[in-house]
Amino acid sequence: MQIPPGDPQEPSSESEATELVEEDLLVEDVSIDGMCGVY
Amino acid sequence: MDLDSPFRLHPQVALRPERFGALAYHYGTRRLSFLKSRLLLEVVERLAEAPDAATACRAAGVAEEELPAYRRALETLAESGMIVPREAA
Repeated sequence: MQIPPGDPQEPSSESEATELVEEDLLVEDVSIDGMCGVY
Repeated sequence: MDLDSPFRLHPQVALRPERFGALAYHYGTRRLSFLKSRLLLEVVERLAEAPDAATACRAAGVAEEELPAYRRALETLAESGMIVPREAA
């Protein structure tokens, strides 16, 4: 699985960047409903 | 999320360990979640046996400063139904 590169733009604050990184760092939900037949 | 409560993996969820962490698939909701950390996988695997989620985190080796991030991860899993509250034994 290819992991998308991070955003090259600098965040406005270090704590905000840390928070943003932590928000989606550990779990990512994906819905595959309706993808039957997609290829 | 209350880390002092016991949780367990939903019985309709299958975990598949991967190098990056694990895939969690819920056969009931058809939802797929990526667990992006092997440590998070270990936390989830320990939930059923631990008295609460915080103990599962610490037993897996999660540092105190990492607990907030793991709490949010477990919240996400609970919101999607991947993990559910468990009656304390």
